[in-house]
Amino acid sequence: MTRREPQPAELIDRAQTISFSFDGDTVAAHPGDTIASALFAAGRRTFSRSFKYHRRRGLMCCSGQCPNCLVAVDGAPGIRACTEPAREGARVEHLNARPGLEHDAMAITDKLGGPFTPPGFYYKTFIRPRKLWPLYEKVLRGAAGLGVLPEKQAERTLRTEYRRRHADVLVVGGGLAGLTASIAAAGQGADVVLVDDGPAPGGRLLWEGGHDQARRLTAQAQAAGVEVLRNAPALGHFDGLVPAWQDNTLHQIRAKHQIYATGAIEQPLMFAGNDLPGVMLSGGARRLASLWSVLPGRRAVIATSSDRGIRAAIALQDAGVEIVLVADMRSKPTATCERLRTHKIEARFGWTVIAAEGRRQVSRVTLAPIGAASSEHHDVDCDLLIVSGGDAPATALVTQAGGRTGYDKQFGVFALTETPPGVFACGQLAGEGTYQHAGPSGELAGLLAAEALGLAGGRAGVRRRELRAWLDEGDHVPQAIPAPWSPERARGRAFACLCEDVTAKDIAQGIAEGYDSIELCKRFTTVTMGPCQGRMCQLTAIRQMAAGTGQRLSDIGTTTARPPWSTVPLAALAGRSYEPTKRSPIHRRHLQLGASIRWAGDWLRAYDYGDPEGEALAVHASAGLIDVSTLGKLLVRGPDAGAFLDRLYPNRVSSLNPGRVRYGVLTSDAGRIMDDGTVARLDETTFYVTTTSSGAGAVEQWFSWWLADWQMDVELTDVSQALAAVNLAGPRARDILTRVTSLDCSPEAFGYLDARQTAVAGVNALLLRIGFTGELGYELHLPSAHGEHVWDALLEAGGTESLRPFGLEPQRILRLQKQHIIVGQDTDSESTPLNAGMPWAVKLDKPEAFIGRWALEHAAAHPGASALVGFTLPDGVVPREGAVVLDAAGDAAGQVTSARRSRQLDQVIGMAWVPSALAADGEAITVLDRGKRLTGAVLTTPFHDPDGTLVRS
Amino acid sequence: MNALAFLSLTESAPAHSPMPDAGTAAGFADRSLIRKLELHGQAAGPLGQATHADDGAWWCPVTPTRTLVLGGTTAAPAGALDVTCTHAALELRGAHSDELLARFCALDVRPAVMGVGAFRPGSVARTPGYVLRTAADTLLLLVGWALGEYLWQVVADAAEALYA
Repeated sequence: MTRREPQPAELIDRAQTISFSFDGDTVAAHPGDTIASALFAAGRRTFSRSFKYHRRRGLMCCSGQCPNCLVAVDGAPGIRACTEPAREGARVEHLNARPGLEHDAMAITDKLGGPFTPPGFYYKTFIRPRKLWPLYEKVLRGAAGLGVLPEKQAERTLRTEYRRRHADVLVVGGGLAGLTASIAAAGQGADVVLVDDGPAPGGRLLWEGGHDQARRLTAQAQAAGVEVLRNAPALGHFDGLVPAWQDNTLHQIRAKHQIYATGAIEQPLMFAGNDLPGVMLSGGARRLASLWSVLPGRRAVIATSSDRGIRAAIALQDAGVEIVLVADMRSKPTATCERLRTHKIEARFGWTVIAAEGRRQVSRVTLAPIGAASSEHHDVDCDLLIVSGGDAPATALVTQAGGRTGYDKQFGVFALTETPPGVFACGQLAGEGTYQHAGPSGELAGLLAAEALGLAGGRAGVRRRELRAWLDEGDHVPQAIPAPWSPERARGRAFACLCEDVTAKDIAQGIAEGYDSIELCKRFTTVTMGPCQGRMCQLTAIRQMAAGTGQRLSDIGTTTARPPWSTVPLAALAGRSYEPTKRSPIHRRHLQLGASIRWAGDWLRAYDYGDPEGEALAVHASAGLIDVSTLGKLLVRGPDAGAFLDRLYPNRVSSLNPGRVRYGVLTSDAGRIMDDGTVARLDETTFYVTTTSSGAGAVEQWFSWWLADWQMDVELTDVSQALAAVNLAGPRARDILTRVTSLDCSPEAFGYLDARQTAVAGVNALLLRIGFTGELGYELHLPSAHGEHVWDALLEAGGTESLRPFGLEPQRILRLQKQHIIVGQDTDSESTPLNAGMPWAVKLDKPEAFIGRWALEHAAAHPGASALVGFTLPDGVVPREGAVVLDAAGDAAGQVTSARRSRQLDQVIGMAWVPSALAADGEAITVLDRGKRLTGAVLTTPFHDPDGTLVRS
Repeated sequence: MNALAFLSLTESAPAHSPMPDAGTAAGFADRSLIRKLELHGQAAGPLGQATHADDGAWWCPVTPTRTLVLGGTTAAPAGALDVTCTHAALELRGAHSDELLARFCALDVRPAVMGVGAFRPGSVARTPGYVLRTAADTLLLLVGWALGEYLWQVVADAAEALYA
């Protein structure tokens, strides 16, 4: 164990001990530890193997920025050990190494693979011979990737919570600037949410000696009403929506204004062996030492371009690390550097690191003067190399929000130059990174956001001016700009991109092959495309490109920052596994009866009760009961209701007498069939319209749209879900119905296409004498809440021997026997009532204009080339729906739309679109299905009860 | 008989909610069988704000010319359409009601934005619906009757995780 004595800023609870496993070995930890801090404390230095060369990688940033500590936790890959809290019993496993992390067979690629694995090697190396590509692909797929997902859905147990949060102000980043901004905005009355990717807000304050201030500010923010979300990295900016991923919850935050206080990302340096375990960013080493009280090493060398490395040297020495040497790229010491002398730390200015060596981790580093042509160098033995290559503003999120960046020559970074209205930036992101300026910068951003909300007035305005004046004075400490890496300086791989194992040499090769823009270089070499999303490599890659192409950095620019900015499981983006599901009011009864339930549009419907053909036969023999609650149902009321419907339907509606029902087909303004159903007139001004189940929503919209256009005196109400509906059909239907109602159901009193209101089983119901089955039928419409009661009453009245429930499939058999169409199955976007065999549904002689009239008149004058007909096939084979109809020459000339075997008729029947010349009774029809030709005969009238005697009985 | 009597529930007959029989659970309860009326004509008030009547009914303007009346005990106004079964209704109640709603609905129901009486149309659990704040800690959700069981499942699922 390398734990230090208790530290004031530490996050761990030493009073408790927990344990988890890493590759099967038990690891002790304290609550508050991350997986990485516990592993490091236990002596582990290799945390992963690199993507391509399988090189050892160790802790570097300790803040979730770099890819070096990716592991799998409880089977979920891609977890950063340095930010993942240690949990009791967690199962942690390494990624990307076989057979193990310490002995990885694929590490051979680091020794031998260089010449064979240039950028895009899989495009170049594995294309010949072509026939071997399937083998190559299998091998490459096996070798690539960072982790394995469980293969079976049932093994994927991640449960994601989704939380929508509206706010006045969202502050992204909980460092000094972000905390101050949130306090300022909340102090003016704004509803503020702050998201921070760390375990506690405070940012650098936490590990740079300001932990008390960080805790104080956090408490102050919470007291002001700020909702503080810890360990919650923001993922992106989507038109004002900023998702933040915390534990297993995706917070979807919509704020009127955003304040970005995302700080800066400490940059690594390029040198040979810059990826060895033991090479750490200064921030990573200090976090490890302060927050988790773990010494990052015993003997360290510091290579820095700014005061950040100087402060790290002093802090780590205080922590007990021997600081052997500081190599500062800057030629002149700053005031902070003077402190090195008092700490007796040797420093070399104008020097940097050019190589690191070591078998399992750093054991020696080589330092050399900047830009020296000579071979002057200095080797130092050490187990820790702290690097600090300057701070690059973390602009990715704010640029997704519309911010713009430009190259800052003074600091050698791409800095924020512009934010869109309503979006604010502060702190190091806005170039105000010093301790003296970060707080005022945040306070100003908070007040500006409050002002934009109309909240800040009076003294707030004075304060804003004071803050602006203070910030305008400026107080920026210079930092050196690291030079591009030159391979001549030292042997060994110098990595620009740790995620994808892209070296300086790879970028140079990309340039040589013509990929001389950063976006092309990115795609060719994959630099910036890995898990760090350019945090560690973008600036370095741009500098290498500038050196290789001679372009200015400002001309090269940056790659486009795209979400997600932080790692998030794909499952979190999928949503909870719920699909809006409509159920009939009688659905539970169908389940109790053992129905087979299937999707029908957005409904769950009873497909059958186990014997579809038998259920259809029962309707012919005695009676059946089907749930048709899914039908669309509209009330059309008002003085203009009849005239309104006349304009929508191609037949006459206003001529209906109260208490009568009429079939109607709805056509588009192109005369094509949109939907069909019935219209019942309930009284002079009230019509009850039914539609198909799947067309209900579209018809309601269609009616509403035209009503808004025509401004008629009509009230339209969708009662589709308010009413349960059942169809009682069969020769015994009347007998059964009369047992549950006092209504005179005789044919004389309640004839075909009549509508009546009466009580059924004590429930007010609307009864329509219609049916889709071809038998005597009654459609009962009643309040949905009474659906189960009436269903039960009818089944009881019928008795099991006389009345049998039937599902959707037997209904399809029954309707096909009558050649009733199903809109959308038997019709398509070219079908009109005229060519679909329903000319009787169009009344071109009615005086009123109606939707589709012109098109139908044209269609009547110019009959189409095909027609919808019925057919029978004598050889007993049921063709698939969609099977091809052949013409006399054997060419495709139509298609089967419906086909079933009818036990009632003892033959195969169907409907099909055929050439018009074949649309006559007795014409031969040839169907090609699955390579087999089936021959049958056309029938243009219903197969069953063609005269309609039964339905009228 | 009223031409539209078949829309109204019969008190003497068994009536079933579209939601599971459980009816109530920690933090939420089935209110599907409360009376619901639809009135056409000038709406009861400004869009977005419902009026609480003396008989306990909430008069909720749906459009400038259409009002949904939820609950209440007095006789239905002339011309009212009984639409009790058009919508399933589920009540979220308690200190966590807003938080529970946020698990499946993106509407902004913060008290400062949506105080008592505020009535909003919107997507509720990915389906069209309405949200009415009936008290500081109570929200009434309406979705299509056929989606009642679905809504119950979504809310129960969210509540299970929230209250765990």
